[in-house]
Amino acid sequence: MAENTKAKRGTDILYSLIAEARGYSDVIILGRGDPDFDTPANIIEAGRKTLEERAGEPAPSAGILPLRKAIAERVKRVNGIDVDPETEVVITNGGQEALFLMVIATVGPGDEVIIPEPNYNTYKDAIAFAGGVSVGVSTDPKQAFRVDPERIREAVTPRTKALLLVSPNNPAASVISRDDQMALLRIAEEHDLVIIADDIYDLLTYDGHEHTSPASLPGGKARTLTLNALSKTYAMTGWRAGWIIGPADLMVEVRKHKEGVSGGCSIVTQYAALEALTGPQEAMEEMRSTYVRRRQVVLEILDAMKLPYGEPQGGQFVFVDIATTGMSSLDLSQKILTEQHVLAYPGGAFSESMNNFLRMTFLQPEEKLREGLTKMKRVMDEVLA
Amino acid sequence: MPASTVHAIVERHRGNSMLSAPYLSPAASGPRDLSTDQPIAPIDPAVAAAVTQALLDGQTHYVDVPGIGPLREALVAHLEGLGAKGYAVASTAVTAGIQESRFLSLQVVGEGFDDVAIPAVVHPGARQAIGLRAKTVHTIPVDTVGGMLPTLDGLRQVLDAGCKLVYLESPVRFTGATFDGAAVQQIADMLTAADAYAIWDQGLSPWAGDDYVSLGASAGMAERATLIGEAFPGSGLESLGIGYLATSEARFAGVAKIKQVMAICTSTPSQFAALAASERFGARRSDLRASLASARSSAVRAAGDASLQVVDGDTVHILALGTGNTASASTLARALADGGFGFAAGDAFGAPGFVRLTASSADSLAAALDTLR
Repeated sequence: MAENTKAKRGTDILYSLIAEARGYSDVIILGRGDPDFDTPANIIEAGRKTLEERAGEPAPSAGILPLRKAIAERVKRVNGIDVDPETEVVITNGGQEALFLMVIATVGPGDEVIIPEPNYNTYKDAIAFAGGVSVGVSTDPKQAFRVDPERIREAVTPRTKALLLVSPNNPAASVISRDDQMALLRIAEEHDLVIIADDIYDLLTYDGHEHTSPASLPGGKARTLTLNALSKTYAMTGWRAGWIIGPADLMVEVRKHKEGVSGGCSIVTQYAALEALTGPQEAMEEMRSTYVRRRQVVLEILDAMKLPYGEPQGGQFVFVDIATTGMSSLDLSQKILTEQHVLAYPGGAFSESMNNFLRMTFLQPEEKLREGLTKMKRVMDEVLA
Repeated sequence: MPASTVHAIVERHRGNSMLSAPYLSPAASGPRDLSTDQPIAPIDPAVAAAVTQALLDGQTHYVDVPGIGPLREALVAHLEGLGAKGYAVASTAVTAGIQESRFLSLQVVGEGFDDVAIPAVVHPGARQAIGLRAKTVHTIPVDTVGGMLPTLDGLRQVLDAGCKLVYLESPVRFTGATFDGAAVQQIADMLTAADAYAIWDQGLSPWAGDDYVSLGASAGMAERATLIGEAFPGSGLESLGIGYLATSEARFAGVAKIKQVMAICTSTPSQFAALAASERFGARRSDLRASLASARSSAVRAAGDASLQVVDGDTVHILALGTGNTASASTLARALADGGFGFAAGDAFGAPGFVRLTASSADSLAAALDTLR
């Protein structure tokens, strides 16, 4: 059954599950990382005003300067990274385009990129597009999917050009500690590697775990490109609002790649993003508080069901261990979807070594989370019986 | 001291002349910006209202990778209006603007083609998109008298030399010149005979005459020609970034895959704006064409009075001007810049000694030509 996962590309598996899920009117979506909240009203209002008053304003390739300034302020405040908004910030069509651009701007044919596993499928796709080679480094569920610097070091070869770090991790929800980030940066310095950092869940950490951006560490900024976006924290997935920050010399090339790939981003999205970052933050804070509550609810239910999981240190999901079922994650997620109309993502779609896990989000109201988990357990109990 | 890996990356890209092709940055703002590819028009209040309503109705989440269904249907209807045959909704994608369409067509539809032929005079965005992953580039010479259209003999030569992928603009982005029906058929015949493939940028076609012919209108071209352009230009959407790519079913899977990898989907406000604009496009385009056509005629006369060379073109909004030499062209450019007018320099397109003015209103071209008297 694991062959199914290997034969099909991970993203294709997920999209085919999404397509099937659409056919069920009572489906409970615990799969996709798309917040169930709509974008806050003040941000929509900013979009409306832009449409009515400044839709004709040109959209420069790096993005409008007010937004770049707001991003510079944000990354200083939240991540402790100093960037020049004129030269070290580029606005992108969401975190996804940021990820794509960071990879194609840095990775060349034959270059190896070390990526801790499990990881979001798109990284491997982007690296393949650039002609690079993804080198996966496993993480141990028993160690909360910790990115072990020594395992990373062992994976370095003369062809290694970059280290891709995602923290909090998708799908494992682990957070790289500050000490480990320091150790990883030392490895990058020793071997002169670029760090490609995905910070998209940086504001969503729990139980005392704190996010550390590699670029905030001494010596980190000069070799690190960092992405972030407003999709997850401001419920703006459809708007496509993201950014890349990095050292000025590398950002010249990032901007050139942005020009070649898509040019300037939508002016409506940019002014909406500006409002998101500089306007009232209550809605964002309330969403964040809700995720904290929902996470607790999910963990309590999983504990009561005696379903083990990786400690969700950050992000918007839990990586649930389904090894006791004896089924592959693809087969189990398919069964749960078809029989109970609940969509959770198979861990095997993120990494072949994670076929014993399901990724489930807590991006639904509490009652839906309870209902969805109850239905999942029903299927798993039937399998175990 | 920069890290050597970072330095090597920077140097690798600096040596890539295609990637470093000049980007047509917005040159100015407001009525004196004559630098754009498309006429800049105010957005219809009804379009703005429709977008706001869509957002309030919850259209703030991820949508389908290739675009929302109704917009894709509207785009295919638009293509059929240009005579294109055989392009299905299922193999038409909404993009985040014409540059993304160029990128997807040249690098994704064009994957597997090691060579590509481009006209000597072409939008710099095409060069930039090609520069993202190396291809061998062949140049098709252009008719410097006839609107800088690629010559058919030149096209035949690159095909005879074994190049299987060609990138063509009609209308030409720099001059607005178009291939007539006979030329389009000849191009289609050459592609078929050579078993070659074309990317056809027809984004300026709404501003060409009623006799405009898309390559997609020739029999069999749905399997050989990918059509790209902006979605409903002249509707005030230019800064919202919304375009299209229509291709064959066989080639579409790759497009959808990379679209997902690079963006997940196109911005929902932009898509719903384009959908609302599509419902008003016909009437709006007619009105704008009429006023721009009249303005262009006057501007051509004024250019002649100023001893400026007017390059042949078939769109109502573009006026490509030359002076016969690059030194005078610099003077021309300086005069426009001193007058606060944005314009597109011919150097960026491969046409040194020329400038392009794009009219967005009846007055804007006249004002620029007054500066040049």
